[in-house]
Amino acid sequence: MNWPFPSSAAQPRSTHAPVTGLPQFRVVLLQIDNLLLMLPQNEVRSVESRSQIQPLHAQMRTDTQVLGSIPYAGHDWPVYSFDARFQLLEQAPETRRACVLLHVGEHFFGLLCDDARVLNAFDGQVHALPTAMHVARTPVTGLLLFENRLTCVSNVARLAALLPNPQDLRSAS
Amino acid sequence: MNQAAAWILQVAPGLNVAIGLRELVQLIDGSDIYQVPMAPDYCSEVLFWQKRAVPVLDLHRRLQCSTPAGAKTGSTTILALLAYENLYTRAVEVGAVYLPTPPKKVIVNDNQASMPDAAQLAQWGRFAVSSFDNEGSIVPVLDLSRIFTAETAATLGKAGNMPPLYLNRLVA
Repeated sequence: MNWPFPSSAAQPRSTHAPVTGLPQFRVVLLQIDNLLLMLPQNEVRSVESRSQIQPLHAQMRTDTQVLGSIPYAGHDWPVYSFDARFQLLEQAPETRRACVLLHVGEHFFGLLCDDARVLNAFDGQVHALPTAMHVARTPVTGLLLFENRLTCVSNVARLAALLPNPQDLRSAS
Repeated sequence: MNQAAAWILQVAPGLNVAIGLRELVQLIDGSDIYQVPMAPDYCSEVLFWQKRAVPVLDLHRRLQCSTPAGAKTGSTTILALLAYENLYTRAVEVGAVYLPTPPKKVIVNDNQASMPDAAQLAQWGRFAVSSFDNEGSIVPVLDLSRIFTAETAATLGKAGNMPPLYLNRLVA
């Protein structure tokens, strides 16, 4: 069965025969400005309100692209914000109302977004990113039309690779 | 004497390119095109056609033309759907290019084969399999596989390493 999220071990959910005949997956759909970004649900640990973001700890202050921290499992993890072109922002727009906590390995980071929707039975047709559109650092692995809008499929490993330094993915406490 | 049919596509004023007859799949209008973030500047748009995600390529940019574009990206009304073989997967895929004018069908004979000059070779040599003289202008025959699936110039080899001239891509 083709899994549109190559790095994820998420299992497709198929308790009922899907209408489209396609396998069903659990995904989280993020809105970041006019970008729709689809991630495997098992890579999203939680969806929080932006109000949960805490001020930077001293260890994180050296990186201007860390916008705050979010507590989880007794630690505080860095929070980032992209724009619709996957460029890291030094200041999050007011429209970023939600924060998804993403995990990569043993580490976590928060990603601010305008909205986050959890879809438990997604069965749309995902197309691989055409070869002509590949660049080395692109986080986009697939494309689809969802509710008549272009949606980019990605995974947390690809997003984490856009962060300035891997050591940023450490807790502040 | 061999001859074959081909399509002449205008890339920019004074720059036409040729493709094989069967490489042109369909002409469509330019509606419902979507921008993809973090994609190459010459191929940052996609459309959906017959259950495929079709990359939309700006030939003018891909060929790094110094002359003004013949097609204004985003506002042109003609898109040509082209078939090509993916260099890596060997799958036959479909890509789209903007055209300022409809393609023109020509018949090309062996005696039209002509080598480009150094400037032309530097411009499009790495994307062409051959070239011919068409009404006094040298027209490259594009290798669509390289146009759409060769990611960097390094993978194409140095400009000037054109294969021997042949017309078998222009199959009638």
